[in-house]
Amino acid sequence: MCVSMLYPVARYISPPEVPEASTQSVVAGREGDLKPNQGKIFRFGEQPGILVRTEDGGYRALSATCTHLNCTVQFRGDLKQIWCACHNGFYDLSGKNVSGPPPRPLEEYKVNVADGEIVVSRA
Amino acid sequence: MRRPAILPALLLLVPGAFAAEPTKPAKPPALESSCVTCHKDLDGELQQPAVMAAEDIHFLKGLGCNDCHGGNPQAGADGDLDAAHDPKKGWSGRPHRKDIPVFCAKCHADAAFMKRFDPKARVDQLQEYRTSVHGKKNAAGDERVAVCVDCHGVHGIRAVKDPRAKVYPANVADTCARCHNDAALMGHYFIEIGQVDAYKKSVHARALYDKGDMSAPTCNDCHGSHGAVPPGVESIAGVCGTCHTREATLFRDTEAKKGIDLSACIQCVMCHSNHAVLPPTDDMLGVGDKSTCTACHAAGEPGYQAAKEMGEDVVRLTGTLREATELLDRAEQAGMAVGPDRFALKKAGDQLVESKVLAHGFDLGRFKEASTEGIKAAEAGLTAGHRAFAELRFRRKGLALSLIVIAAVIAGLAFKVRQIERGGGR
Repeated sequence: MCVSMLYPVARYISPPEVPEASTQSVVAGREGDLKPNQGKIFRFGEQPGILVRTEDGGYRALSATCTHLNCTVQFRGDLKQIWCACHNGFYDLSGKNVSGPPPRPLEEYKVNVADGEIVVSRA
Repeated sequence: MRRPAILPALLLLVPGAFAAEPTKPAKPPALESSCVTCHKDLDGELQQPAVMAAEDIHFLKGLGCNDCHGGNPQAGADGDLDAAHDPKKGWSGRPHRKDIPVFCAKCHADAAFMKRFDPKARVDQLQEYRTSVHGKKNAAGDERVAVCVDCHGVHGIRAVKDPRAKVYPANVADTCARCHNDAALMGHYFIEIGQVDAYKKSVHARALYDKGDMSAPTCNDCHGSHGAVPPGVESIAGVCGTCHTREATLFRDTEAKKGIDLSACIQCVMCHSNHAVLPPTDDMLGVGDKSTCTACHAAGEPGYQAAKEMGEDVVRLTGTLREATELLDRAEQAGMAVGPDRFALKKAGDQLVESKVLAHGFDLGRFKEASTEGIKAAEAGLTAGHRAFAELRFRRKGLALSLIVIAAVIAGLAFKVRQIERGGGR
C-alpha cells in the first residue's frame, strides 16, 4: 500500500522532459555519415535543417524550410543545389535563392567538426 | 529673348551652393546644361522635363537632354533659342507619339552603347514590342496604343529596381490599369476591363502586396513586358509552369502518356481562374459543390471515383493535421515538451502539399502514396498530442495525491506533537 501511494508521488516529483528553449546548437551527424556531394536532413529544435557535404569534403548547413511555402527542401547531388520539390525552387549551397518562387535565402548555420561530431550552430 | 539665368549661373560657381544633405548623390553634370537652365524658367509642360530630370535614370547615368533630342546643350543659356535648338546639331525636338518606340530604341537596341552602362542590359525591347499587341497596333499607325512612355514615364524615368518606378513589380498592375481599367479606351478594342481588380484579389497579389514578396507574379510575369500578349489556350500551362513547374510537368506527362489532347478542355484556368487566382482549397478536389473535377467527370466515370478519393484523402489529411497541430500547441502551452513531435508532424504538412501537387498528374496511385504517408504522420502527431495530455493529467493527479499525502503527514505529525505535549504535561 505504501508503494502504491508513493509511486505516483515519485513519478510526479520526477521532472518532465523540459521544453526546449530555442535551440542554438545541435550535433547534426558524425564525420563519415555523408559522402562528398551528399546531403541529409537533421532536426534543429522543432525545425528541419539540411547538412550538405560538398565535393571538396567541406560541410554546409542551412535551414531546410523553404522560404516560399515552408516545404522541406532537399539536396540535389546532380545539380549541386538545394531543391524544393513543392514548386521547383532552387537555392545554392550558401542558401541564396537562385530560381523558382522562393522569395528569400535559406538561413545559413555555422558548422564545426569536433571529435568526429558535426556541430551545427546558429550564426 | 533673354532669360533670367544669371542667379542660377552664379550659384553654380559657388561650391556647395546646391549641396544638400551629404547622403545625396552628386548632381549629374547634364543637369547643368543650358537646356535645364532655360526650361526650368519656363511654365507648365515645357518646365516639367527640367524639373523631373534630377531623378531621371538617364541623367543619373550622365546622359543629357541632347542625347535624346539633339541640339546644343552648351548654347542657349543666354536666351539664344536657335543656337540651342540647332538642327545642324541634331535637334529633333519632341518625337511624334507613334515614333517613340523607335526613338527610344536608338540607344536601347544598340548593344555596344548599352554595355557602357550595364553589361547585362537587354537590347531586344523594340523587337519584343513589335511582337506585342501594343507594338503591332503601333506599327499599323494606332496612336492610342501604349508606347514606352506610357509605362516608363516620359521624363523622370526611374530604374526598374527603384520602388518608385512605374514598372517596379509592386507598381506594374496599377501602371497597366491606367489603360486597362479605362472603359472608354478599352472599348475601342472590345476589351473588357476589370482584370487588375480581379488580380488584386488573387493569391499572387496577396503575396506581392501583403507579404512583400517581389518574386510573386504581376501582369508582365504572365503576359510579358515589352512583348505583352494574352497567352493563348495552348500556352497557358507553359505560362503557369514557369513558376509551377512540377504541376505543369505532371499535367503535360498526363497528356503525353494518355495520348489525349487536354488543351481544349482542361487548362490551369479551368480550375484556378486566370487573373483572380484564389488560394487552392481542399474542396476544389473531390465531388462536392465546389469541386472543379466534376466540371469534366460525371458520376460513374473512373475520373469521378478518383476525384472522390482524392478529395476524401485531402480533407482527412488537412483535418487530422489541423487537429494534431492544435493539440500539440495546447500541450506545449500546458508545459509539455512536444518539440520532436512537432518536427515529425512537419512531414504531414509536406505530404499534404505533395499530394496537392500530385493531383495535377491525375494518377490516383501516386497521389495515394503521398496522402497515405501524410495521414499516417498526422495521426502519429495526434497520438503524440493525446499522449502528452495523458502525461499532463497523470501529473496533475499526482500533484493532488502528493498534496493529500503531505497534508496527511502534516496532520499526523501535528497530532503526534500534541499527543507528546499532552503526555509531557502530565
